[in-house]
Amino acid sequence: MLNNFFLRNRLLIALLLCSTAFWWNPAAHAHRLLIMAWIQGDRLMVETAFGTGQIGANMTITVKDAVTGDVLLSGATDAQGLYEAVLPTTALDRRAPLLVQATDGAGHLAEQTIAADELPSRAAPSTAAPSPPKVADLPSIPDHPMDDANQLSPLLQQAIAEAVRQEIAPLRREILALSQRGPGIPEIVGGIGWIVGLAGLGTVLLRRRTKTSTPSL
Amino acid sequence: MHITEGVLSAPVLALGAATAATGLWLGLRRLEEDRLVLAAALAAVFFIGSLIHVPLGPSSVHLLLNGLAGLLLGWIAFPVIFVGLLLQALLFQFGGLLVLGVNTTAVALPAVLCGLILRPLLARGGKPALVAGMLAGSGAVLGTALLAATALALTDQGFLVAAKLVVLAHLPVAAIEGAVAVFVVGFLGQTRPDLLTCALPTATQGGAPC
Repeated sequence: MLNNFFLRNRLLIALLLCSTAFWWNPAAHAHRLLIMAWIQGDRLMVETAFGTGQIGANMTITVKDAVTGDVLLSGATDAQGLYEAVLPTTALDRRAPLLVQATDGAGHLAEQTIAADELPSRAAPSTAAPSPPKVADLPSIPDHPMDDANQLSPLLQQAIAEAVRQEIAPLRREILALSQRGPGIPEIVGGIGWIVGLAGLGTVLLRRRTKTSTPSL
Repeated sequence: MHITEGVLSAPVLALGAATAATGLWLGLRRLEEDRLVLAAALAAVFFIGSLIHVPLGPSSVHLLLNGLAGLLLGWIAFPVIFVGLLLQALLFQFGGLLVLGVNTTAVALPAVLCGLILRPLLARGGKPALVAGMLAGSGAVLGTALLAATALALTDQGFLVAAKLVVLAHLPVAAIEGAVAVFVVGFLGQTRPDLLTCALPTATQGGAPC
């Protein structure tokens, strides 16, 4: 009866197996959480993504003093996988490297250390409101020459910075995913080779054990 | 299920390592030459299984295929899964070496328990065997999710939070693995029924314990 069931449904089984074929993607390893953290002005920016380049939304972010382990900041990424916060004065005073950790609460953790020399100086503004990022070396417009980039209004600078940030967000995730090379054919074949080798070793050991135990019987 | 390095506390890591070592010892003691090829094949299946992803919302989860190993091999599933996880950690950078004991325990222990409970059903063949396959495939995944949630809860999170995150994410995987196990058991029943009946403890018959 069991045999008949499978013979009758051979087509269904084949279809089901084929339907799972799209899951076979050696480059995809979504259970690997990736993190990219950087300093922008007086703010800490964090972006999380999965190995496939998918957005890491609602990841818990913890920022620690990498030397003492004290928690300086904590929060969660938004729906776009972004987290940003003004660096606390304690972090600027300590001048210690920052350990930025992201976790999904299900056993996946990603971390990155930001070196102390990347932190802005204590004199930098650290108000709660987002400060405009420094825009240096703006190209001059011949018809309307601008002697100083500061002539741009802070609001305009902020809008430009925000627009650029949004435009390059997918690129950042792609770079993040590409920087983490997933398992390829060599690793997969190599792993199966190790298993075959271990099975061979096990056979040798078991036969040797059988031979040594046989005479004593 | 690969808990990443640096998430769990030292006592949890030590407990997991001790449990895995015990399971390995029990499994290796029962490993006989006639089961070695099947064990190696299932180790390869488990090793590759982590690359089969199930899209789930913004993220995705991967197959485990531990229930089959537990159902067909019993305690031998411990060394099989250990080898698979070790190679995944070394070659794929999934999980890690320090957390290998916890991951091995979380994946292998439910599989072995499912196997020990469902073996009599499996050996009956026919529909009972298919039911055993489905229960083992699904039960082992859910058991793994629960153990992983327990390990996370023992470290720093509330159990309900961790269980909600891990178990809910693995419900689709449990359903898929139940179906996969049904097909595999059905196929083995058709081609190698001896593998299903051999899964019964044969100590009383003087044969090698499976």
